[in-house]
Amino acid sequence: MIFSLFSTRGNSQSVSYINSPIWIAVSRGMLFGISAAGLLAVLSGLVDLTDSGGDTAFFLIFGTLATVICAYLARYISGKKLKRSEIFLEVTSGFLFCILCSTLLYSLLIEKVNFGDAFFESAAAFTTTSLTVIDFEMSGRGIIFYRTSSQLLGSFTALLTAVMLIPISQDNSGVGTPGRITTQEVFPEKKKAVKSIFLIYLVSTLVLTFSLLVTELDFFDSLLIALSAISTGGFVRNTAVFEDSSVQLILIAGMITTGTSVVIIWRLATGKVNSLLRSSELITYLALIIGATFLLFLWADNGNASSISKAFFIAVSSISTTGFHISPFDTWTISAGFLLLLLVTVGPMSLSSGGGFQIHRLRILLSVSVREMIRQLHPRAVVKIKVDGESVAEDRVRQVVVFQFIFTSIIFLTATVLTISGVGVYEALSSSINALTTAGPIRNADGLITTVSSFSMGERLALVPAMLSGRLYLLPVLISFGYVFSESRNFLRPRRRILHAIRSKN
Amino acid sequence: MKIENQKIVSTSMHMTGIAVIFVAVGVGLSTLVSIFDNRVDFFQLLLATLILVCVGSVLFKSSKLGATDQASIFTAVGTTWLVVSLLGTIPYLLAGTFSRAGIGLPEVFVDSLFESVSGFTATGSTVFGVHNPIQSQSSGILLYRQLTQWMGGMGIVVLVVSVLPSLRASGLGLIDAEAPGAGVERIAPRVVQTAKKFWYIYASLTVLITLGFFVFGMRPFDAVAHGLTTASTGGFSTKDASLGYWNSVTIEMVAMVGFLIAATNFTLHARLIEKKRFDYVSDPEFKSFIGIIVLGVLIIALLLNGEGFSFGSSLRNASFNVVTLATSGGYGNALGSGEVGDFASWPGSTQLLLLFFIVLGGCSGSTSGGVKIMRFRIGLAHAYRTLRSMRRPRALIQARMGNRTINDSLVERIAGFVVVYGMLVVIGTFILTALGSDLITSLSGTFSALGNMGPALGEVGPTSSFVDGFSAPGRLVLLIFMLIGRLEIFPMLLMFVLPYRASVKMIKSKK
Repeated sequence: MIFSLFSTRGNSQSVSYINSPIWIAVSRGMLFGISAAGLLAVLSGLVDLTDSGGDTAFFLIFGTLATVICAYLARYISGKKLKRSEIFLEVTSGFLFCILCSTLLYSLLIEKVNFGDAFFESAAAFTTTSLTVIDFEMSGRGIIFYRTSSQLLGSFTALLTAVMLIPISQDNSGVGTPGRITTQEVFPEKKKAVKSIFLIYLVSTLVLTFSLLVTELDFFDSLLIALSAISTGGFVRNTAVFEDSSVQLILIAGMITTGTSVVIIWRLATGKVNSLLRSSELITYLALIIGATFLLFLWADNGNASSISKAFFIAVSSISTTGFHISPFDTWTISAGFLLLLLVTVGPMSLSSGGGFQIHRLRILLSVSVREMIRQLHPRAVVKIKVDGESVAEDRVRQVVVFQFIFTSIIFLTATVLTISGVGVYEALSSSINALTTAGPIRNADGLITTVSSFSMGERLALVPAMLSGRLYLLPVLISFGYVFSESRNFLRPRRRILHAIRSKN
Repeated sequence: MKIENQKIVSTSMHMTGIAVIFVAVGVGLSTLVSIFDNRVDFFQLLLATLILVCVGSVLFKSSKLGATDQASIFTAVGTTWLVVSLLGTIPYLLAGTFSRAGIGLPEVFVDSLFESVSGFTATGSTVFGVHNPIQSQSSGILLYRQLTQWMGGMGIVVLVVSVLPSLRASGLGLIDAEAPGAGVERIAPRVVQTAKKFWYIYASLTVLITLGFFVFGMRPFDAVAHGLTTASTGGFSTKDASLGYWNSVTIEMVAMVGFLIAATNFTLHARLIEKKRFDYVSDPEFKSFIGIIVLGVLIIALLLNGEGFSFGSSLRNASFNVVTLATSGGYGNALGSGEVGDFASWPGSTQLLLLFFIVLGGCSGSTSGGVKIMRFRIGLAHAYRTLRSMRRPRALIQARMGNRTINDSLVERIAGFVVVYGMLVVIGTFILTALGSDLITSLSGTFSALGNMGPALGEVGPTSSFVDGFSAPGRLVLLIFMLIGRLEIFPMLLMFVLPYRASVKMIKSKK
């Protein structure tokens, strides 16, 4: 019914407000989100067959119904080309509907799970945040596979959004690319970008899965851990597997790869090995990992080989925002906790699966601070921001500064909401940083993990907006909300509505 | 270093000389007061006065003004503040203010330097505490401590410029390098007149606040002492419990009004006094300042009320602590640790909101610290503009504050400032946590030091001493941040550019 109101075959020429791009974007996002969740459910149903197969029927019916209904309704959606802000809205609503659809699935499939818990679990999965409230110990393979693979879907969609839509990714300053090659040059067409990134995900997941098979893990567990590592989701059934040093080493390699820009990985895959050495962003990323590992090792109580491996694992898990966690060192210094918070805040390279502020933005900010110092000495000097020897456009610099402003504001707002409901200041700050950077889990001052299950429903829900904005690199979510807000305001003001109608007619 | 007519050509030395003489005058006044306090610390203060007069005179007489380019200005301003802070420790060291059993001379020096820097930068953080109560100090030392804040509140360099007509237009650059906010507006045709007017307003405000305290029950000495530190938004008190000692709503109200006036742009006061123009209501920064404070008071009062405080007590404590932190005042109204006014023991939500006020600070061109409302508003306008322009890439959208369009270069300057500020906070917190302080104490301590705020959260709340929350190296880090924050970051960071250039030049010429 609702779709017919804005179908192209219906009354597209008439000036009807419901035919606005806002509805087109939301409905497209909705169909994309639901059908993606549906397809994932079908796949999970098939995986469940390798177990008891008890949930297979449900998964298949749920998935098929969702996909078929969406495919049918898609006929009624206008094929109108959308502007960038509308595409942001489409992506955001796609994420939201995907989360809602999964919430429904968890609620129906897992016993004794209320809607709030299911929603949080679903949001944590799609936003690749390593936080969980549902106990999957007794669950079948199907549901566990669904939980894990939804991380990959979320990560893949977010990365595609970053590559194709976020302005900083389209920068002509060699962002995340070595040898001054732009993202567009590496991925000239959108279809090629999708294919290439999909291939990177597929190959890296398979390689990591087979590598983990070398250890004592079985195929299913290896696959799950690989999916979590590649998506930077961090969800695992049993964290005890990370205590094995061979698993640690394989995952360290996997997590470093996921934190690396897809552009670099693609160029490496196409035989341009030299490009690795010329990327200063990559060098910074690796230097940060080594530096953090050294400091964590230094602060650890017993300086043996296992401490190095542990420190390395914790550092890589934090900076790549994967969120795999192992038991902390016996003596956990406060500075170690702060260092980890810093690492998740900085995050990995731009155009990687990880969240956080990302190293490229940080380098721009460093250049801004250097420029300001030069300007203080020479007030009339024209100083360009340069990264990798190339000038960065001024509007890109502004966006990064605004990103920093909004990033900090969201951390502060989320932490304030959490403290109002009774969470301590340290935990609130740690939770909001981990949610916004989509890293997780939350560590308390002693380095121990605080489970989100100990949070109230309201506190958990307060983390969801931060998780969603963080996963979509803030700007799409903010622009979407700004767009919806301004359109709603226009809708409520008759004069503007008439003007808008006249403009649309022309 | 050039020598002309047997005088060293150095703006830094010349200015530092006068600044040290001003400090000597302050110590001299304290010496006079100590006569009425059974001459406790009289000889020590007298000796300190003589030393400072000698050092100041030598520096002043043996030098003359040199270049006044940006690098020289930063070096001059930075050097003045560093030397004054260092020499400001002399009265404390001679009087043995911080000597106590179990600590060596290095720590005594760190404590003296901390108190001196905290005074001159009008921060208000203190190393006095249960181990070394404020109330056990002599009147002379207490007055000197208050005077350091008063001198630093308006700015030592402003004071120097007001007596150095030979600086001419370059004086504005010097004031600009020291003054809080993004630039100083001339309120008189000549720079010296501008500096003098700022000081007249400041002195008048001090007198008014002192009278207010006196009328509402303070002893004359305490009234003067608190008048000095209220006008400077410093926060040093002559009592261990700060204003909590009096437990009087009216005294707290006088302090709040005083802080609010002092944290407002002095240009607005000057316009009111000289041109009878009441520009406060049309000033977007002032409106935002008041609006944010009112909103903060209401939210915190409601949160406290929800935690079981009575409504009256919630409103009183919320308003006092919000105003004192938003204006970077730093007084406390708690009777003791864990009492109602001790915000370090309040719920986490209120502490986070107070942390926001610690970061924010007051208006530009005032005596307050922090990032400043103007920068915050411009930051917001810039964020809004950027988000809008991302939606409409072809539209020409300007950042605005009130009815005024904000120049892009100003936006860039503010962006640069905020970025450097953020980085300093991260560096400071990291060092302090590495030195053993907990995260909340370190983070809020760094914000407090950079914003010249005074008390912070965690272990360094309004009733605590900084000795409790930070080790001696930690306090050393904090005092560096206080100096950086007082000079709005860049002069302190860039003060070594000129010496560096000179040394490079010297090495090249030797080669």
